[in-house]
Amino acid sequence: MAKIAVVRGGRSLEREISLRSGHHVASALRHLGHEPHELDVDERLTSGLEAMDAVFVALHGRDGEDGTLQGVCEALGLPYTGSGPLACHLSFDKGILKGVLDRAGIATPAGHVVSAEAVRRLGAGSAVRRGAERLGLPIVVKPVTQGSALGLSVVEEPDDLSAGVMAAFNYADRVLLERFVDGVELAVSVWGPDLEPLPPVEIRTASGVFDFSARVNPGGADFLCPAELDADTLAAVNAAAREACRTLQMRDFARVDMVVDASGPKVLEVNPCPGLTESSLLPLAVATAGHTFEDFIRVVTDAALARA
Amino acid sequence: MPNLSDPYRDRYAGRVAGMSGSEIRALFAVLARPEIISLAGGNTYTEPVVDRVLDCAQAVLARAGSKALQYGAGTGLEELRIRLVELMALEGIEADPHHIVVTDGGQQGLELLGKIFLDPGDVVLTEGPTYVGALDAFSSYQADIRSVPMDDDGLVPETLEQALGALDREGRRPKFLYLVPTFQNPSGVTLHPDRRGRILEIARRADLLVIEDNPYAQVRFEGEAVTPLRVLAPDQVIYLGTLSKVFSPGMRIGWVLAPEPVRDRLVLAKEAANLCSSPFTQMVAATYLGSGHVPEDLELVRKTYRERRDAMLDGMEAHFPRQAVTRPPGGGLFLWVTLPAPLNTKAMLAKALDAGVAYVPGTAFFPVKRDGRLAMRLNFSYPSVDEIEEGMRRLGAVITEELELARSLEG
Repeated sequence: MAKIAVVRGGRSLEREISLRSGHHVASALRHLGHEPHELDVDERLTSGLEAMDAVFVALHGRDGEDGTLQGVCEALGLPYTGSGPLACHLSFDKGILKGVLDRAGIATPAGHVVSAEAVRRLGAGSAVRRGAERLGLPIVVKPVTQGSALGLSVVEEPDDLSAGVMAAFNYADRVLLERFVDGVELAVSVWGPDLEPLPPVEIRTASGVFDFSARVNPGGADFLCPAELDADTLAAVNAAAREACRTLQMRDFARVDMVVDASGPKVLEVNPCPGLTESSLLPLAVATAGHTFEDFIRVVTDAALARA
Repeated sequence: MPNLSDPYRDRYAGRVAGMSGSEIRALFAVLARPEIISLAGGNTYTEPVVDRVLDCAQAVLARAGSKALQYGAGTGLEELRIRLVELMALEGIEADPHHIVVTDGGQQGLELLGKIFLDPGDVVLTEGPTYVGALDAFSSYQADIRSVPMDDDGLVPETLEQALGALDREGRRPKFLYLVPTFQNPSGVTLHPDRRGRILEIARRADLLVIEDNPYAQVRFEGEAVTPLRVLAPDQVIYLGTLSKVFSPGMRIGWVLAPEPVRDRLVLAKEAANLCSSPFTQMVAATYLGSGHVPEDLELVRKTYRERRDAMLDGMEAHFPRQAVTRPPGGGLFLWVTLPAPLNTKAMLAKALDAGVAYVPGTAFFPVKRDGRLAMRLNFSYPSVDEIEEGMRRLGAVITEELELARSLEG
């Protein structure tokens, strides 16, 4: 039995989802015989962590997925679940992620990053329009650092570009303009020492866009697991997920979001601390693979404790 | 192939599709954080009544004993209904306690009216913008809600006539017209006295039932009282009242004043919903209303709201760009601010929350969520003057930065 801090909540706009993830994780830890302590992010957090044996990071977005909390744990010499600070840094920024994946030869849709500073000080409004033209509409506009598809929009008409970019700038100082890939949206979770892929989850939405509204409104999206894929596509999807996580040096578990069209899978995002609520994508994949959520939490927690 | 997103999805009634709004609710989880100043809620200033409630609760238990803790009648307690009639008389409304159904807040009144009047697809007319809780209640009965634009004097009679004409050509007949005529939530607008008779006349000619929701008239801190629609046309108007603004929202006491046949249906609907409102809180409320303290407590509430509204207007003057406009309300709880294009208050909410201030985007108050993107509702009844000053400073900085960025992007 170990005293485990479950850090959840936080300052990010994914606070609600994180509170639910944390609650789900804590009850699994309790069933496994551990002593979970659910902690929020404030100035007392670090002193709270010092009394613990390990940390379960159930914090989405800022502080939890950008390497901040992981850095604190490293400094304290405290074992924690999931990926290290560098892997978090590289995946949290979608612009950097795209570059890292590109260099490793992992397919990802073409894109450009524009900063608010460039728009303000360098007159880069025209570069936004030119960049969008070069990618060819429709494009996806999203803040480089934000989870749950907050601030994401699909721009189909030139007249809607400014509104989409402005909406994304509300969530980050830099915005990614990305070529829209018309295909099947998948979430592929990996876990364990070998980053073994779990059955892919296919996401179907009424609007065709898996945005924040579709994520939080009941009935906004249907998840199908396992996704209906032929053997070749399944192999390509699993290889892309694993390769992306290995390239980034992800650890314990992660979720890779991708879209698959006729030319194969293209990686959109890699999440070091994906949603772990009762209805989140990773737990669905775990269940489809025939494991319980407790099994998953045990494997992940034991791996962290073994690093002590 | 298993569908794991929601194993119950094929079992829900069709009406759940009309229930939405999880998006803003999910973002507002951060409101629990101490660093956020919320100008988003609708909470009221309840400090003056805390001790009163303690005294009243003790008196109720001493007097009624275990009876206070039993079931009550679906209509509500008679002693409370008599007090509610006295309260309405302050505004000139003549009512019979027998025509009142006590509800769990005004919101349950809206829900029960939806339940007894609305079939799927029925047209409901509202002001645009309108109270979000009314939109939620009516859309949960699959109503086709059409909003009629307002100006600084409230609903525009000619526009209402046009809307009715257009519906008539479609062969549609609206079930009712829902209005918050005094210090409307969210806009703060009061329907001009000269327009009240005309609106009622148009409604009478169209054989249109009017629902008057009147939570805010008693929290007037400026100007003369305006005659409620119910006074002008007792047979044509169903009246909704609440103690949320004059006493406490947490007590959950509202009421519907309706003609007898409608009242009888409401009682059946009320009993099916929750048997009765809590007899204990009804007794506490009745005791408070009869205590003689209401006028002095309300005076303190009004004085406080005026100070807070002034602080909010000062903050707007000092920190918002000049193109941001509002109509200073003489009562109620809210300031409705319209920002210059191309801002989008729904998208900007994330930046505001990050800067430590919350508001409700205007889109929440329209049935068609594209409308209201330039507007925001700000609450001045709950935050202190200091919080309002700091909140408006933070919000002004966000708006100014957003506007500059939007202009650079277009430039």
